[in-house]
Amino acid sequence: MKEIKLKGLDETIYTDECSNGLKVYMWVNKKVNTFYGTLSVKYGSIYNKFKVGNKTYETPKGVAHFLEHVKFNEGKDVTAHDFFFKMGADTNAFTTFNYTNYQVMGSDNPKDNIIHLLDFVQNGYFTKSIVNNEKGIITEEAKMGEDDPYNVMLFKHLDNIFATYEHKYVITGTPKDVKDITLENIKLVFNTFYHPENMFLVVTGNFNPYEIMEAVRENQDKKEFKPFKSPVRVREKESKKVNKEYEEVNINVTNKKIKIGIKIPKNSFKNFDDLHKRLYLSLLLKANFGNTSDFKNELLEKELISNMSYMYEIFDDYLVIMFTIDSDYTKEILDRFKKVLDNIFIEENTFNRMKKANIASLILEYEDVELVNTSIQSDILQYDHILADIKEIYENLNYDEMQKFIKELNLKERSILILNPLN
Amino acid sequence: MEYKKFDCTSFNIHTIKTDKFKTTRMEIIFSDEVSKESMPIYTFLCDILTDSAKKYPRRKDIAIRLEELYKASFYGVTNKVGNLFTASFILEFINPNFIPEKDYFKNVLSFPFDVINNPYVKNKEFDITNFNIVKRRLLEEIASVKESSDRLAVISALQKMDKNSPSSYKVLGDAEDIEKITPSNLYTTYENLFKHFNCDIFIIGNINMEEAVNIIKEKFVNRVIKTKRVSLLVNNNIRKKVLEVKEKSSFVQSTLVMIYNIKNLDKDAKNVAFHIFNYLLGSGGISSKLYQKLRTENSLCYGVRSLYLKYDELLIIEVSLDKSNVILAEKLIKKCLKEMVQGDFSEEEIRDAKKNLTFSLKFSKDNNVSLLNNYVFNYFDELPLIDERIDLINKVNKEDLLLCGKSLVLNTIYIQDAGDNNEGN
Repeated sequence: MKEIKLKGLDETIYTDECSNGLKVYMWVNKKVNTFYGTLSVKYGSIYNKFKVGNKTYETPKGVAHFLEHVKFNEGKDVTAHDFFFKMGADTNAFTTFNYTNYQVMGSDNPKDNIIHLLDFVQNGYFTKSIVNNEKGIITEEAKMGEDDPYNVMLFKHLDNIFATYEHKYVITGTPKDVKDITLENIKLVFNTFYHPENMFLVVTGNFNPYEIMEAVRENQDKKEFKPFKSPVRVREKESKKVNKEYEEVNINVTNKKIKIGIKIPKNSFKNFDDLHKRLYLSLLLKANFGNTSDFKNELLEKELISNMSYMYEIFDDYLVIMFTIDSDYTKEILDRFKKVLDNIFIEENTFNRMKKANIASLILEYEDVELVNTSIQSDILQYDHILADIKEIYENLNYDEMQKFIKELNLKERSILILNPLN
Repeated sequence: MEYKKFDCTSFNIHTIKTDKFKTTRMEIIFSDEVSKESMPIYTFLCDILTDSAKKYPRRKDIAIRLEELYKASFYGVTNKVGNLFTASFILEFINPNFIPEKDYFKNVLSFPFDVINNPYVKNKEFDITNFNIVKRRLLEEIASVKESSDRLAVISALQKMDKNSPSSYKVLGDAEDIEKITPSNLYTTYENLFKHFNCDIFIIGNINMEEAVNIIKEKFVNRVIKTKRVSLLVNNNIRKKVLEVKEKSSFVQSTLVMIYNIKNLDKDAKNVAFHIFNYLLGSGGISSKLYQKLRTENSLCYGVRSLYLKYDELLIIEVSLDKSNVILAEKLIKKCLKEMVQGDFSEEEIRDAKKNLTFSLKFSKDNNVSLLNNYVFNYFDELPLIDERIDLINKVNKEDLLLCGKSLVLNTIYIQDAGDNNEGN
């Protein structure tokens, strides 16, 4: 087993790989009472069209999420919940655009619980009646999403930003999509994507990593898997332009909201990899639009806004920034945002203060078993390896590079969405 | 873990020393009885006090100082638990052993007192610019309740149950309550906070607690001695006839809320046995009786929850679903409870529920917020500490759970009906 030392943080990640390709990452904290195991499958809601060899497959939207639901069935009238309930452990799962994650958390018997996590996720027990019964439940979940204005506005905005990307569709699928999903769809995607080579296991908390690795290896060696089909997601070419530059909609919000989305092609950056794009952008946005910014402070003081937040994310070939502003003054806000976005900058002392604070808070990331687990997952999904030198990377961020980053940052392609209250 | 209480005459400091965490958390808790009229203005106060101070006149200045203190966090919250109202100021910071700066510990620990003891006030009035920012934020927060179907349904159901019960009072109040607040009466409220509220400071972390106590004693100005003890229990009336209310909404789903009174249970049963009963009934996720009946067997909903309000002696069951299924869901919930009262659950299920609750308690020992919270309620209401509760869980038997079931009396059935175009998907 390999030990990855996290430089400057005094932490170790244990890692190994089973002969069938399943990768395992572990972080041990002997001071806590619990363990947390997650099994991630690199298959999410955007994989609706994929190729295996020369053959192209298309499935209804929402299949990844549907599979996550029915995956808990292990046999006739037997579910994984039954097992974990008896063990006094808690289990759950979620589906994102890119991956599906299954979890178990407990205080006793980490080995048995982790092995069962592998067993139920890798077990392909599906029947027509299971699929049909689950449709009512998922339809209600999808309708819950329709009742949540924040969910509705996020996907409306993604729809206005992307012309072809599947990220514009809700992860659950609509009630109509759910109705269209069949047992055959479920079996197809399970057999294609749920392969150990396409999964990774992360265990954090209080346990013996050697005991866990031994048990995982033994468990995986006992199971037979057909060779991984190496499916390739098929995606349409996405235009550099936003899908819709401006739209106003009425929705169940009590206060008017303005959303500004900015679409930036990743390849417009010549000198920055994804990690550095994220790090520099994070500092820049915080300095200009965060709680310490003059801009936000002025908007609040002039009562032009009551709140404002932002997020940024990489969606395939695009970096997207999304602002949400609670304001009644559309024109004034859009004018002021334009001015700041067209002249975005950061002062050197602000840059250094924020950098110093970020380095200090890295220490805190290695405390909570859930947070560490999530952080390992995102390292693997975003960078395909553990960022062992993250502290050094932070320390090496410098003001001159930030200036270069600002020069390469193109914030011109914008999509505005205005959300008016229904009444 | 080592707990110590320091009596500082006009306030207490409770220290919990542990090397489990890399952060230290301090909560300055002001407490008094719930009052429908005054909760909104204290909430306003809590918000404005953490947004600005004489030394940090704008929110931005506070944010910059916290960043300089290595991303410490500081905020205010108000809360209502049964009949107890608390206004808390919370500081969380990196343990000093990770920070090279010599005066870091003193600086970071002094910060909340520099802020709350020195508000940005002129002529006994809070600064109007900050006042207006907070006012707007609170008004929007109040309005935003209407955006969440389940939150709105539970609040409405409690109001229909008894609008004069503290269980139905809203910490934020209504828009009219906020409109009545002025920079001047807010300052009077600030003075009253120190005059009338009890004050307890809880700190958990791996720091030199003696030094911390000395810093707090030096920095915290709070001179009025208060001796009032607040009983947390709310006495909710039991109805002879169940109240049934149906109201229209524009949501896609309908929401059904059923409120039960819990009567004649002793403290141990309320502290431990009822949690097991509720776990089996509906708070235990997908293995619970309500989930099984409504979700697994009948595909009626995505989730159903039963919420135990111990100090209000209420059990609330809430489910969102298609409007055509509301009547069926109500029947199934009643059936489920009837089966529980009749003891239709096995020793094995009890054992598994105990195991799961024990895990939840052990899990809370890994979290500084839950640990601190446990000491807070141990002090306010003699709630047993986590290890004691784990022992008590193991002593509960089926008879105790049957008593929990028998203690339930249906009070209110509230239906928030979906819009007219939303039926039968």
